[in-house]
Amino acid sequence: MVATEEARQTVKEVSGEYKYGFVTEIDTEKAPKGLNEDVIRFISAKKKEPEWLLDWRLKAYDKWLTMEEPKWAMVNYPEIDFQDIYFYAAPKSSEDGPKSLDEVDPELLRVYEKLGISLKEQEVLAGVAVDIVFDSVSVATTFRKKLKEAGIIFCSISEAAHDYPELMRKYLGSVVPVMDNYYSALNSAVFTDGTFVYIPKGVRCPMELSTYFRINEANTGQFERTIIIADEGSYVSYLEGCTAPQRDENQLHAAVVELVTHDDAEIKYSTVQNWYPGDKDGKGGIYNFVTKRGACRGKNSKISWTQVETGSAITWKYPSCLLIGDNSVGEFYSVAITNNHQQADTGTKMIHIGNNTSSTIISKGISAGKSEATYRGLVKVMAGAENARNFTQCDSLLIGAQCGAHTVPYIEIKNPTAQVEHEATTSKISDEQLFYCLQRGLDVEDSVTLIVNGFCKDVMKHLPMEFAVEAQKLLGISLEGSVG
Amino acid sequence: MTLKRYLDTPEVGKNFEKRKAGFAGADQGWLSDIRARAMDKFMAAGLPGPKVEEWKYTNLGFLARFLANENFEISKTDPDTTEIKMLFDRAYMGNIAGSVVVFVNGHFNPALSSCPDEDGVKFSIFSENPEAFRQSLAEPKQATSLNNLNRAMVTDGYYLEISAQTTMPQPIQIIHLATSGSDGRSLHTRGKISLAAGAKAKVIESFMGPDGPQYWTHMISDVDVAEKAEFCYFQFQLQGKQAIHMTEMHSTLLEKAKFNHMNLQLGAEVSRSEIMNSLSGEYAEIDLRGAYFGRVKQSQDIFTRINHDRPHCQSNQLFRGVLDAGGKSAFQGKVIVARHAQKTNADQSNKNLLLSRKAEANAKPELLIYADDVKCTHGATVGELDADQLFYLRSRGLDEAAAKELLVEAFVAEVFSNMQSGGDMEILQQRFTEKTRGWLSQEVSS
Repeated sequence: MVATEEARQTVKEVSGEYKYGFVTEIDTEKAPKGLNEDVIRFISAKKKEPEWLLDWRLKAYDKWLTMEEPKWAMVNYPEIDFQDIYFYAAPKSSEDGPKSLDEVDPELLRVYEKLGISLKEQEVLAGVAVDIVFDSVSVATTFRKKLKEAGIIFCSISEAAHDYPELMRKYLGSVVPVMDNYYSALNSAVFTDGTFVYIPKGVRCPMELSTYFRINEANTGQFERTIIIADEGSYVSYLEGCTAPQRDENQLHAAVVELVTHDDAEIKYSTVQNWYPGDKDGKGGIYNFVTKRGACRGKNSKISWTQVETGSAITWKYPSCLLIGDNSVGEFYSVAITNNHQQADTGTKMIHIGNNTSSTIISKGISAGKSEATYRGLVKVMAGAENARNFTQCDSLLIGAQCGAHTVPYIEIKNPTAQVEHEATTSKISDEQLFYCLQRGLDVEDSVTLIVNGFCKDVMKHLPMEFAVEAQKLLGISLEGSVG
Repeated sequence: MTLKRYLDTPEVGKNFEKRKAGFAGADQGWLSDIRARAMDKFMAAGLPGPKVEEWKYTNLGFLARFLANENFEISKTDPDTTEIKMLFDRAYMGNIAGSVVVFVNGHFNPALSSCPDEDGVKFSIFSENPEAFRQSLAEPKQATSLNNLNRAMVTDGYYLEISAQTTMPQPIQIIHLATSGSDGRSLHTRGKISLAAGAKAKVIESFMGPDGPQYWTHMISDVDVAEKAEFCYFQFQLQGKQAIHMTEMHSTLLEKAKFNHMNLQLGAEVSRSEIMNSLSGEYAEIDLRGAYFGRVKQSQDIFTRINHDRPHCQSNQLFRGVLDAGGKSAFQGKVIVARHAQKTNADQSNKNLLLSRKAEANAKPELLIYADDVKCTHGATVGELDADQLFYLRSRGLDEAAAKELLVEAFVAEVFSNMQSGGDMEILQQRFTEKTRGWLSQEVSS
């Protein structure tokens, strides 16, 4: 319980400083169900947003109304009733901010505990700053001062709208335009929180920044907006981890992440996603429709996406790179595990625009149970992009005869100096591999975990240390019950 | 999603009404019914637009002008015979003796043809015996718009039946010619080839036309390969530079059947080859290969699908593309392994060579897999000629053009390697190499 005490302490300390979001004239913690202009005005008022942002949201809403839900992905789910979703919910216990330890909702602390995350522990273990998003409102932020000293801005998106309006106006929607797709338009209209990171020129972020997302309240859609800007010569590694307590009803999540790197800058973005995938019969689970895109605007800049996707009933996610600056580099390393009735349609887009750009795509898909995993990726080399280089490798592993693994790569090349390679394989765990492990005394589940971890090694090695451990455990947990 | 608006001109419907009486088999009630129904469906759905995933890389909007062209008649009796003779000589492969069937502007030409009449072979021509095509013209389960159009407008076609255990000693050549008079016309033909159990046959189908006229060749064929039958098919496309070439082949393979398909696309301004295959019997084997060349406004689109519906089947796909200035290509290959099709072995390889800054190659090699005990691979590459290889050849005294030609030839030659077929294919390869050599030297020297 020591850790919990510390967590309480931290929550108390930090929330005392938190300027926005906790104090509000509106009594309700939730916007009414459904989506209309009033709900957007409510969200905006709740966040005390400047006028321009409200206008921006309303414009996005108007555009969203004219758009159609995309149907091309290989995922099946019942029609989403957008009028049956709460688009804004603040955690109950945060309304006035906890004044003493007793006022902290024990339920909230229990969730932290259950997930094995104590803020202090993380602080000590890895020097990680944590911006916890608990149902759409930031409850705790640490290490802010230390980052401030380095000139780094690391705050919630609502704070950024107040404190850094010029930066927000400049970058919001600059990588993922409102009209990019149905869910990005929806997010633009209703995003409730998220993280804003700005790394100034020449600064190497002294610690790995991390946000833990949690979806807690039933029926609440989570619409995060994350913007990370790495100015000239800077570097940042950002960790995004997701866990969610078990819930019955489907929950919608439509996040937008925008990354920008200027000359010589680098962003490393790592995700471990293990939201509730639904039960064995495919009941419940999170619907995850995410738009993630990074723009390498400067010369010699680099954006690297690493993701381990083990959760969600539906995953619809294509972290992409626009390689605009000369010599820019885009990377995508992905492990997607689906079990039971999960469906994942994920991949990347690498758009080569500048000269001497290169991209690497390594995707490992593992399907078990009655799940479906699809890799969908685009490699595009524009006519003016000299000496572009791409290497793509997509491997799929099937466990059981009821699942599906699909590969849908698009390769569009308009410049002869490009060198583009794509290869993909699909296979299963061989009896020989399994026999070897069993013969050495491992049980079937441990053997499968071991083999799968080996299969994913190329991706796992790109995860930061703290994540790698968690992710390896997750692989085993996700595949529980898939063999034997 | 569809290009309905292109068909909004009243001429399209009117034209069909006007043409009706002149269609082959117009006196047959069942056929007129099929045509009318198919036309209604086509008009209702329109042409597939660029937002339809399958047509992402080929825009069909321009086709409407063929359908609205009121001068659809092409005189059957008055073709420029010297032109036909010249085209025929270019397409005919005399060194492969065997029967030859010739269609001119979408109509069977008895004068130039010597149809197969061996024992165990039944050969029918649509315009002479439409009844034989009753089954193959019946509405398929999922008729595409273009399939409907073809069934509504079909001008002529052939039906080749090989009875059980019959081996055709020589390949059958089927030659489709278009003349200068075909400008602005659409030629909708139909083919059906069925091999009964244990039968063996080879078919070489060539398409040829002059540069200049813009005609639209649109052919749909069905291929049935029964148990242990072996079928070898070769498509040689040498259409004129302004031609629109579209072929669609649907094959079904039963147990232990083998199907080798070679698809070579050299001509036409817009070309689209669809090769759709179902492996519906265990231990069936299919081998699809092809090469496509594109330059100056040319667009080559290869679209394949292999359904592994039964266990223990094997499929292999090997396609090579060479694109020069202004050329554009798309390879869309799909392998679908059904839930119980265990022990499937599927390979797919697509490589593209870009010879110019103004060339474009697109590839979409898709794998959809629903069974776990399978081995499926696909690979796709796009790149230019290796500078080291070029340098090596130059250092051996070859000039740049010759060096390039040699490298391109070697790049494409892979398509012909390890072919499981007899000596005829070597002759075909030779002929193909002659053509591509001409193609390259023209291009490289300019």
